[in-house]
Amino acid sequence: MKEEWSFEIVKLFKVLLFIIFIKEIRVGYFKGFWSSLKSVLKEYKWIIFFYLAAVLLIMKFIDEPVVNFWQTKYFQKKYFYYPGITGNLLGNGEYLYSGLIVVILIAKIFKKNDLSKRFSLAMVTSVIGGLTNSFFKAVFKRVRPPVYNIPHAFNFKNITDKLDGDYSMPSGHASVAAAAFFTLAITEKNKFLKIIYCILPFITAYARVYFTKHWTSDVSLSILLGFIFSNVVYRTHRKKV
Amino acid sequence: MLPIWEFDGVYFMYILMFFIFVYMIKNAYFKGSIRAFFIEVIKQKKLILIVFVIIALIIFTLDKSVSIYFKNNFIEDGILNKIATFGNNLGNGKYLYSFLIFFGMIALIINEKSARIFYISFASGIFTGVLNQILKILIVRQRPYESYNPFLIFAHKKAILEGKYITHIYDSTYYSMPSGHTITLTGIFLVFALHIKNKFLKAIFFLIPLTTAFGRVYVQKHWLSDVIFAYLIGYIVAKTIYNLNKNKLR
Repeated sequence: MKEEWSFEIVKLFKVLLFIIFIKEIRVGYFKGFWSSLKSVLKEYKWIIFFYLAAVLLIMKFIDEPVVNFWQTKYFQKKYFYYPGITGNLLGNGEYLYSGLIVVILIAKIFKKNDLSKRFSLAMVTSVIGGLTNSFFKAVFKRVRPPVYNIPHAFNFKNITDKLDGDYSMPSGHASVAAAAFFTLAITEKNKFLKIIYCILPFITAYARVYFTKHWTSDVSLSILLGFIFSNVVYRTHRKKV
Repeated sequence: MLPIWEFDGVYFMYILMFFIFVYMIKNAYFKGSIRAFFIEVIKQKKLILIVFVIIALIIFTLDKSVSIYFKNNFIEDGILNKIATFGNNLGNGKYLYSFLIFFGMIALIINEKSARIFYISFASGIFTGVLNQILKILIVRQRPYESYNPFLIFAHKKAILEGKYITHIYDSTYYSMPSGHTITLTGIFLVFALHIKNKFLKAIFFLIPLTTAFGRVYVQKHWLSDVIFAYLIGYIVAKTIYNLNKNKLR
């Protein structure tokens, strides 16, 4: 025997995610999705409008100085670094989904149906957030900050290796984390946990800006997206939870 | 430079395993298992006696020559090496338990009842793992890669003199008998073998641990008698735990 298997156990969780997802769809998780999306958009239209205006303002005035700030000063300080790396882990799809799946399965083992349903809702929302995120990325085609340092480089077609093979707006990590944790926050009854779930996506957003992978406006937009999706999914399944 | 946090997916599996362990204790999967094990040993005394005689014969005749034969006839691209690699990696607890829990969780998602055979198998694996450590401390045997002397059994004195007694984790030179890989794999797979009624699958489940047994001998980590002993113990434990928890499957 010369070589040991270099098999990553995370792959097993991907298969589990697939199976859980199929089971959830079969039960009818996406029934009434569009109508609740419409109602959410209608209800929160002013908030969304002002938020988008704020995003535009951020793009104009705040994006560049923030990136310059993190690139030059304070990057090596520990009290900025550790929250950053924690947020990055929380927004990483592999770990986030694996963690959610672990909770779902533990809840299933101990027959706590409520908990397992809540977390599978969060997982479904998170997957929706991840999928729409790549759609929006293809629409906006914004350049990431460390490459050219121009916050207005939209519709950028010549994608190269420098771009990390991906576009900037909106942030995938932040929208996945926001979708998952906001759903958990909405369905949670305990106030303390609710506040913690609300804070976690902001840590991820901070992390993405801290590592200069995204502009500030990207992460703000993805938090809005996560908020909308969590509300939509909660509305479609209010009776089940 | 500031450190980067390395994170492996196995940790999630460990968390899951811990909670399954708690569930099993709560639902009495281990209740009376030690007593049942000794009863099973007494019941199977004829088989155990025969195997012990065979093991004694093997220690005196085949052990040394088999190990030396595999050492001299090692072929990098040969089929034997492939089988040994498969067996060794499958016996690795990290992969073995992860795959077991993975399939168990698929069964759980589909139907709660069908996961129970996986829990029983997991319980058997844990039981063999603990028993393996105890037996290793009792039977202190030197491994073949150290020196080709198969008679260094119960070598407590030598091990203590060399400072290698109860040092499994970082130095397992004197912990050859029984083979940990084989005993765990046997404990886990034979539960399925006892449960399944299809004869072909039954035969496959009985044979898979043998690949590990072969692999451990092939890479000079264990003597031939170690793996035979491990297979016997694994069989008894699997039978005990399966018979103990059979009523949960209904």
